[in-house]
Amino acid sequence: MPGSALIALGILGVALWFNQRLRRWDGALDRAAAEQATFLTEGLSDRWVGVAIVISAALSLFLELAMIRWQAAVFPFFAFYKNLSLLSCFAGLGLGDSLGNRNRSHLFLTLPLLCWQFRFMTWMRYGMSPDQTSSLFVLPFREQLNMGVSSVSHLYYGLQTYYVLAVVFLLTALAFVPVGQLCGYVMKRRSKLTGYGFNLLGSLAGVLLMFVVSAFWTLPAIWFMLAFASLLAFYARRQSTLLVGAGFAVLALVILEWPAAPAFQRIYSPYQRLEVGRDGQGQMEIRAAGHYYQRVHDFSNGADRPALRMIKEYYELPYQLIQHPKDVAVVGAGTGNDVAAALRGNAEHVDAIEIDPAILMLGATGILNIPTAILGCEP
Amino acid sequence: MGRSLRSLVTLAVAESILAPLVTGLASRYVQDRIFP
Repeated sequence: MPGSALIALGILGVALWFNQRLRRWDGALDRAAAEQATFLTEGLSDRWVGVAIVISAALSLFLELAMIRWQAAVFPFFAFYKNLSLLSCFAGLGLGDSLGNRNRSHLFLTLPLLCWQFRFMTWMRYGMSPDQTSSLFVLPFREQLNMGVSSVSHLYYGLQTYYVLAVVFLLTALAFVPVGQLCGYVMKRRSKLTGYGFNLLGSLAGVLLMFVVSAFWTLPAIWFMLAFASLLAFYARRQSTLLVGAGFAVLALVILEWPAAPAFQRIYSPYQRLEVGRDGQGQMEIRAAGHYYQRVHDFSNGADRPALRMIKEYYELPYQLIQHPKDVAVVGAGTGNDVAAALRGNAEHVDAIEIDPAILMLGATGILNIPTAILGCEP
Repeated sequence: MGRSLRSLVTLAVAESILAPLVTGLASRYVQDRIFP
């Protein structure tokens, strides 16, 4: 405990030093903010304002969706708090939009703040030992459908989760304020109806773009690279500002793709992030959004072991009650453990329904006791 | 940079440095008291 108090005091000292440093840079930052605002209100050619409104709106929606997807993929509890990611982005965008008439724009703060958040969350998730972060793998509320994540018995046992949520909320909202302000600046250069029309068009384009990049199973580095390139296009045309912005963009992309957990392969399906690896027994283990999802059971070897026999009997229970069923539908088939059980139960026809094509693929390539023809059905 | 923006950025950075410590302490507490 005394050690922790010393560390807390040290952090307070770092915060005061950082604040002092920001104050020292005040003049330079203020000049850059004024220059950025001038560029957006006067420097940007009038001919391109319509395009700028569309791109800025697309950027804000695309970046927001990218943040929601990414945050939910790092810690399991974010998958239960997706609205929080949405609200933090909205808070920043809304606040920024209302500041669209100011003569200062801190657009250059978005990239460092996002970079800092990526570092913070990646380090918390992969840099700390499982023992040190175990409290974040407990839900701070009671939930009926919690997918196997334990819930705390008292509210105060979950305070650390609310603390981390508050930190991420603040970091996200602050990063989105300049993006909202950017939309406000360019929209004010057109009449309200025309500006709103372009904005709506851009918003739809942003959502559509996220749909397309997700459909191709792309990594977060691709999403954020597109967003950062759009953001840099709105930077004031000063070499130093552009270089610092590009530097933070590259650093953020490196952090995102850092091989933090090399034992597990990361797959970003259109639906979620999957981590695929092997457990202690060599079986394929799948995690979804950082949380245990499923093991691919191969009962062809060692099914007489007590632990494996119990699992096998669990999957085969329906076929103990109804023997030789004619038609079986498995809703949420996963990697096919239930399908395999149905086939062992001599079902005549099995329909496997699975929303995630990546899980379907893992089942087809990873399960040896299921004919792949079964899993080669329509996705 | 305005005073309020500077304070908010400082707060966000300081809180995020403190978060691993809070999480580590809470995890030790959770392991000792909830899942001993």
